[in-house]
Amino acid sequence: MLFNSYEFIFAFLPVTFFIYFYLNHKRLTEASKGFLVFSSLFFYSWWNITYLPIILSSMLFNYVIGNSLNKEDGTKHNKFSKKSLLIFAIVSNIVLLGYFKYTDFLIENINLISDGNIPTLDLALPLAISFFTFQQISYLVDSYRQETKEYDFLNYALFVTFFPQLIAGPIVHHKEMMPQFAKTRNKVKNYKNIAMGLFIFSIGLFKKVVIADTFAVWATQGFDIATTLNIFEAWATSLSYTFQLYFDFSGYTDMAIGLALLFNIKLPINFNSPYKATDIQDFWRRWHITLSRFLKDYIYIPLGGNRKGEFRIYTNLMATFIIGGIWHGAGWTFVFWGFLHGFALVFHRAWSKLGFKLWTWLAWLITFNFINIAWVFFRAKEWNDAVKVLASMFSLNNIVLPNFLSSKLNFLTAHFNIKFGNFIDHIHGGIDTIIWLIFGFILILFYKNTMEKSIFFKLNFFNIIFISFIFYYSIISMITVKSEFLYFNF
Amino acid sequence: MRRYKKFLIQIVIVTLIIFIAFGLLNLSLYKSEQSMLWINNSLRIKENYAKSINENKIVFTAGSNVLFGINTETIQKELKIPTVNMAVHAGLKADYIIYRTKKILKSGDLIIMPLEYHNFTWDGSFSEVKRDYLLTYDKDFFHTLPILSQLKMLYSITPNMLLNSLYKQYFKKVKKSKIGENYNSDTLNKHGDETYKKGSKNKVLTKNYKAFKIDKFYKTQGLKSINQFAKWCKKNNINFYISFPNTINLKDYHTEKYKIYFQNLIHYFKKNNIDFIGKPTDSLYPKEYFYDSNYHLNLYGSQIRTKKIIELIKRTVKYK
Repeated sequence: MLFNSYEFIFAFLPVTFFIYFYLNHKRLTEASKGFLVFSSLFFYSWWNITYLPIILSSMLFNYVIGNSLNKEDGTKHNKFSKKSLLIFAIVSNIVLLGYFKYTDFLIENINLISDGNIPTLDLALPLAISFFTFQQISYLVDSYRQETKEYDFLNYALFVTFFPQLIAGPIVHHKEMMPQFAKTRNKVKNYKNIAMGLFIFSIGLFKKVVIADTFAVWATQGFDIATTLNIFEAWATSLSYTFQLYFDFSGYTDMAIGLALLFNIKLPINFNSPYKATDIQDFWRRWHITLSRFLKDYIYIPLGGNRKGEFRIYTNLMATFIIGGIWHGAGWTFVFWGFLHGFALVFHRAWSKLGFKLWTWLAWLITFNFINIAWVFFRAKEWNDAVKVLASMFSLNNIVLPNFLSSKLNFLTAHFNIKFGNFIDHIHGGIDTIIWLIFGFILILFYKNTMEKSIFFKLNFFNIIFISFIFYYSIISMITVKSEFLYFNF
Repeated sequence: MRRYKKFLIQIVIVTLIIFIAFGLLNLSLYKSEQSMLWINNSLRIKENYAKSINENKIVFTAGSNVLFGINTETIQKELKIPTVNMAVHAGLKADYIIYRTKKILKSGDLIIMPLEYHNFTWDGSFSEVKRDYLLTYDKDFFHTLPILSQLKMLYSITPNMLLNSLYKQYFKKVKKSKIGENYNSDTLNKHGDETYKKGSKNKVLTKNYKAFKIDKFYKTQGLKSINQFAKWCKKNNINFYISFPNTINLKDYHTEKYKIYFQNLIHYFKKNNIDFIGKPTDSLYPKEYFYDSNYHLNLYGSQIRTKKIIELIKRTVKYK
């Protein structure tokens, strides 16, 4: 079930909300938790019930191991056993993820190298597997470090399946979720949280269905359908995807945070105006914050982090980001995207060490353009698509200017072979594309993000109109567009 | 807490008011005259010509694959029977295309309908072209639609679309597009065929067209409309043949998945005693035969296509 669907907004959510709090009101705490787990699994199974056994068995496996790891035992022998158990559990999780996500990628590459013809398995990726695998790996490590308290399976199932964050995060720690579910005050309806939750949810819904889905049209045309692009079309394509991805994913996260708040649960912030970043390190402190946190805590630091000299820092950064790249998808374009970001972080670190400083605007311009260009590899289904878009972005051989300029600038045709016509036609764009791109820049650079807005949230008439209007706009936009969130594919 | 409760109630009330207000505003004010003008003019011209024919005629209708792809003038010369091209836009959807066609049919006529595939697979969901046309030129038909369809159409109009529409209505004159700039009823010949289609536009040749989407075969709204129309034709002594559209010959159409779909489609027609002309692969052509979209044949392509359809008519049609 999608957050941006009528069945979710008008049926699943109200029913779940009212029954959950009704059961709590009747002091049936365990039943309310059980109901929330059941609802979350129903929400998950709505796409495809065949994935349900996978998530259930993964949960059971990790719960049993996590419990064993959590038991305090000081003997040397047992410590060794615990480490082995942890390694075994992590490897098992990665094998499960790898089987579904990377088997075909591996077969394709073996075929390519050996000129073989091993048939691919064409496995469908179980929804949310990347997210629930990472979340559970973090639980195992935290249990090993004795950072999780012991809870029963119902609590654990709630931690993994809680529907607002089940499909695409934020990736949460056990220790930041379970105390919230246990708090008695959180079992009672809280109108302040409901108002705030609806406010955040409505903004997220608007970001997804009105903004992201508008940019999606041009990005899809440019990447997947057009076979040639002129320079404006190529830039419009890449920028459209840059905006689409941000508004789509941060919109999803806002919705998740808003929904969790309805149940008195505070999820961690995941986006903090990432396109305002003035260097690549700053970007990763603002973009998909919970994934960055996971990569830092469970990959970068265990690899040695900053502790083993400058060269190791560089290799650790590189390794972490290449893993981050391949976590997003099975393809060399994702690996390359990870490599680019790893390289940029290494470069930034070396640059900072030398003490060079740039003007803020120039630093932003370089950072934003680097991110925009790197997203081209992230988005492209094939290398050729990435090359097509990038080559067109930097090619001066194919410049088409709008028709209305032809009377004033027609000398350009003779001297520079610049043509006039529908300058943005191959991506089904028009003047609205330009307006939306300007609007996108204004939003990402000059507006407060949702979390900043929620801090200053007031009960006033403006907010009533604002929430009602963006909710109305989003709901009606869902009639024409019904698209999944981009991060559901990862 | 009470303040927050009151705030939430106010949100619910204001949201309801916004819903009702925009529904009414969209119904009474939304129009899309400029973009629907050529459709309305084309339909009027074609209907007037069809109604002016006293003897039995051959009528072709569907969406723009027929508008561009079939030269009814040539067919008339070849078969010596008055022939009309009633097709305009596939986005009007099967039910409305049929509704308009019924108005010009008489006992003894022959109607051939090579509908676009997305009309065969049409599940009843609304189309923007149909919404814009009905709200601008045919509110009577709009009100005959089920209430849910009406609401879907009305609420698919966003506030900025409404503002845009009002701006155009009050500050911009509706005028016919120049020939070549946009579609235009001035380029139709007497029979209703589109004549402005020389060569192939760049956007046809530089685009990766995808095959129409198919899921499981089932009795879609499109197929139901065809079935009902077939019964109506039988009752009114009209000779009805369904057929398949001209479109780009994509590899996908020769895969097992599409072969099965085409077989199912033909099986459906046979099962429901709906006569059909040709088979889907008869009207698949190379990209170079198309003018500005995957359904719009150019002049050369339409000559080939017309020749083929004449051959099929001669071979298949039994005049009752």
